[in-house]
Amino acid sequence: MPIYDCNENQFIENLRKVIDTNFKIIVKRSIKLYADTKHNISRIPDSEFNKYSPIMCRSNQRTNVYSIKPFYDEFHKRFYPEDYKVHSARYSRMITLPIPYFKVEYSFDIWGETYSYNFDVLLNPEIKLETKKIKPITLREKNKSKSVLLHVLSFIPPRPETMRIELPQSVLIFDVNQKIKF
Amino acid sequence: MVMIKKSGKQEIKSLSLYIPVETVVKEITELGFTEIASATVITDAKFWIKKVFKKNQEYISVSDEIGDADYLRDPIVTICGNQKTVKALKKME
Repeated sequence: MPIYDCNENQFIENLRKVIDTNFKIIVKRSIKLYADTKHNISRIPDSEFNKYSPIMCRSNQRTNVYSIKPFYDEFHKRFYPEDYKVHSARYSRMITLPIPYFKVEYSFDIWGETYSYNFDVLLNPEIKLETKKIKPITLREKNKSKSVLLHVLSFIPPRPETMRIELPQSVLIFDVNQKIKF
Repeated sequence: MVMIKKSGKQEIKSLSLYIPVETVVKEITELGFTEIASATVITDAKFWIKKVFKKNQEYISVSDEIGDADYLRDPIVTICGNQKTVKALKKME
């Protein structure tokens, strides 16, 4: 069964053409949270990186990223000291700060063919000053855990509207876990 | 797949516009839509800012590419709304 990848414009226009022929169509939707290294701090464009600029710096896109202030990444439960290499352009799979994202997949089937549109939505960073109890190992000390005031990076899920494609009520949307390809 | 008659009054339409996103957003707000959400989206190996506008039960999303590019960018406008809204935005094509 062939699967055709579409962009947003193609997917909506293909779907519209099917709807215009009075077919009742079932659209499958899958939304899943991922935290792998697909999207990392070094790859994002400058306008997105600026959201992280209070605690990190880089010279260009796809270069090394360094912490400019000590911070705690709440999502990955990791502490970064000041002037630490947060992302290495050379060893990007091993030394990096991955940005969590929602993988959104929309598809519909017609006459044995699948038309799909996939996109990823990044979680929004939020940087706050907070008191955190940091484990000694992360501070490279053997003392008891310490409560310190530091920048805390957390990731806020985007509004659900940004992960959805609004469709007419005549279109049935089935939420599915994942598409199994044969 | 089941074949039945279409009943809803809402329509969907997606437009690829070769005009600046600011002009598109201005037109949308003049139609009475309000921005309710925005997010950074990655598709086609490109980064986009997706803005969602709402007016009653009508939705418009505007995706504008961000990052370095040396080609003409075309904001993608996707409408789920009534015929009047679709017609108004189709004029910009």
